[in-house]
Amino acid sequence: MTTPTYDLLSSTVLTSTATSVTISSLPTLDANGNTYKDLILTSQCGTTSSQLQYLGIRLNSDSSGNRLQTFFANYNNSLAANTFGGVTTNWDNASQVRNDLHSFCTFQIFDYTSTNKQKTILFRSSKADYAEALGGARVDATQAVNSVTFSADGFPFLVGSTFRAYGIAG
Amino acid sequence: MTMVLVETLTVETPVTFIDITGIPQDATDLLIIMSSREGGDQSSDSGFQFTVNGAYGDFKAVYGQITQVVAQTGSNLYVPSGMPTGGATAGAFGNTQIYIPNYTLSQRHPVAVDSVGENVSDVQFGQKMSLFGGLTSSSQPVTSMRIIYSNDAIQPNTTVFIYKIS
Repeated sequence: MTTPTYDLLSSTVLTSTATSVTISSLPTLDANGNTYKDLILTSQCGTTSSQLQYLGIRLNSDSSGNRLQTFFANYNNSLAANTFGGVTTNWDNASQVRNDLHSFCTFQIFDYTSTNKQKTILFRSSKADYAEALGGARVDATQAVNSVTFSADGFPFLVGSTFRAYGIAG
Repeated sequence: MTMVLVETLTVETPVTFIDITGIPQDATDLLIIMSSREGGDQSSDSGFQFTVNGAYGDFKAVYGQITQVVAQTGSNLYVPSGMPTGGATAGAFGNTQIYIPNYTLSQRHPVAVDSVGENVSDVQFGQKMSLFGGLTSSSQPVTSMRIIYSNDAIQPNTTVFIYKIS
């Protein structure tokens, strides 16, 4: 029986603004040769926009729009729930961000190295002064995930924004 | 291994708060996992609050209990996962996760809290799930936290696990 791990795969702290951040060359094996099963992404970020924008991720630079996602939330002290099919932006939008670093989001991508199942994503986002949300998405593609790109509707991320990836093997 | 258990706290006799002190400053993220039960009546489950560096914050919550869904906003909201003892199934505990990213930085810290509790299916406060989060008032590195049950004592065998992630 292998020992589960929680390994830091990538850490990015922006020292200049960037319109997107890509974590690439995600490994399939840990240092002991065990296959990574799950991918955990965390972000604490903001954008140059004074208006709320969506923080989204895209797997493997896939822009085909083959996504289905749903969420429920406290949005500005009102209950909200919604489902999107074939998300028009082609991004898995999870959190809302604007010109502060108060938006925190985690994404869990299950069995990301598999090549025989569509990828499912569970996300949990916290925009401190606006929304708490929990949601999920399915990406209609079976390829292993080897890169993830973060974007916020094209608005540059602020200096100090952080993006990390952890792999769980076992 | 980048996720390391720093400390385990276990309640042996009823207390009204749990202090987490001396949080190490050599990691990036802080994760608190708590298994808790409180001493209140099932009709008045008060949940718990928490402070960071001795202060509350600005929080929002959305939670479900039985068939209700509720949204709240406030500075010292209660996380509704207290698992009241009165009428509750013996040995049942609620579970809570508190995540603070970049906790060693000097900034107001975003905090995400997820909790669930289930003990009695047919009473008002018997089943709960919540998303809770916001921004700490303190803008200093997180060195201490306090878990507070202001109305009802925290029951024995409540456990708090503190992990650091780097």
